Amino acid sequence: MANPLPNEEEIYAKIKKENITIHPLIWELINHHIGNDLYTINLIIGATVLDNETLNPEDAKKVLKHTKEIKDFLDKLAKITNLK
Amino acid sequence: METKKYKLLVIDDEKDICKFVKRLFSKKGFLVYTAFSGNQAIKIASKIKPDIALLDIYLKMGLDGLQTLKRLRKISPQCHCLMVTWDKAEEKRKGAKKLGAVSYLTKPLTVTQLYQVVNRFIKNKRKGDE
Repeated sequence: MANPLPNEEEIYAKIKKENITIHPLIWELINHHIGNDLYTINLIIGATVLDNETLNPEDAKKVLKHTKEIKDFLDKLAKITNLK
Repeated sequence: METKKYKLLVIDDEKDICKFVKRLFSKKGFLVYTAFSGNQAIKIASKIKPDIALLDIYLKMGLDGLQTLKRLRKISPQCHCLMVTWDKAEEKRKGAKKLGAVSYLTKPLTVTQLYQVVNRFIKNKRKGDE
């Protein structure tokens, strides 16, 4: 996880207190898209690291492809949910 | 992870997932087969009779994961079926267990988690063979 925001705990407290939720359909999209991309990245990197191997350029390109797919998905989601 | 040549069938419509799971377990001595749809999985399973299957619940085309599981269990009743999905819904989990799945794994999985579940299978298999 990235370094926490200075007010991150307050944000979590506010979400909990005000019962701010994400629609299940949005969770479905997030879990499907990000879940599959992260799983693939984990497979590529995990197998390399656990076996003390070096990441080859083709696999590195795959990691970049899947990170870009996460970004594209989040951009699309932000656009469709009118996140400014 | 030492294995005799167990046959592992990976069923996922994400081709990269199939490719990298195949690479991962081929290095560990498994005979790995991949299928990108439930229908393809059934054809392959009929021929090879897998020992273990890693099966995505959400398959875009043809049979879905649960339908595939049901047919897979008929073709290869000894097959140790592990369901993989992002969906934590209890009804799906129960449905999969009812159809004979031995584990229900939530994406995104780590390589260590995958090794653990497969190792568990190998240990149980060895106990059963003794």
